[in-house]
Amino acid sequence: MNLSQSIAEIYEEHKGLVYNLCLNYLQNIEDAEEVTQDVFVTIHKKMNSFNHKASLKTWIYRITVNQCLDFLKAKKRKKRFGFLIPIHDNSDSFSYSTFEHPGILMENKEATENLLKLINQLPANQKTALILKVIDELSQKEIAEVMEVSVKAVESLLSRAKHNLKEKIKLNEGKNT
Amino acid sequence: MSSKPMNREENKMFEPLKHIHKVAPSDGLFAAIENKISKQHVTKLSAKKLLAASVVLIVLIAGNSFLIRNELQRNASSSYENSELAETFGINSSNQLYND
Repeated sequence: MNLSQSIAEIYEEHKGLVYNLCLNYLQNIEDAEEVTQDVFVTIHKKMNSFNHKASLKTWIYRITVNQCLDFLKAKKRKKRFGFLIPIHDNSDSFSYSTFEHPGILMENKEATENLLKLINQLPANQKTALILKVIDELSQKEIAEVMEVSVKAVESLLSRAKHNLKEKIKLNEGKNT
Repeated sequence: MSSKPMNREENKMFEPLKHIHKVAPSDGLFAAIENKISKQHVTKLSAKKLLAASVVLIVLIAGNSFLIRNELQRNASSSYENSELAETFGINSSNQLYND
């Protein structure tokens, strides 16, 4: 089996996982496709160094999360370089493109978009833990393996994420009324 | 495994996220990935070539700096010799030939 064949097999088996995680993380079709490409290029590049300590699925999840974070950072850096973001602004809201998620039905679009926009305001590790838990339905042990932290740390991240999100929802409701 | 179930409030909070459907990526995505991988092969420089290029570069820089240093030293010693000669024979070494 040559490298090209094996990347084709990995792609066939994991394309849904990677693409949907990218979509949930970036909420834009074009961005998700770009990062999905980068994920499989990275998998191809690092395939020889994969040490089988974690499962292939966990390893792919980790690469995908890291690529999404790198993509958002790069996008923010580009906009900051173009002076669109003030130096003191550390929020990530500038990193996201227009909301465009094909997995969301029209009738749920507004509520889901609002919730995802609030989740985007959470710190990156809280957002990652929350997406993996609520949307991808991974167990805390699996999330711990993906994020390379302890199960306790994941528990704490999830609890802080939920708390922060509740606060943000309250604040947002207050603004809208 | 300590996976706490979500309470009713949290369930309600995350309700919209439970309606997100899985989507299949576009058909041309794998071709784009293959294209990126093949491009990487073309532009990838082997470590050996990179090492050889850096050695050549270091040798060139060292050679050039050696030549420049030698040239500067030679210029300094020749100008010293000239001024000594001019002093011995009382030659005016400046361009000002006439005293006012």
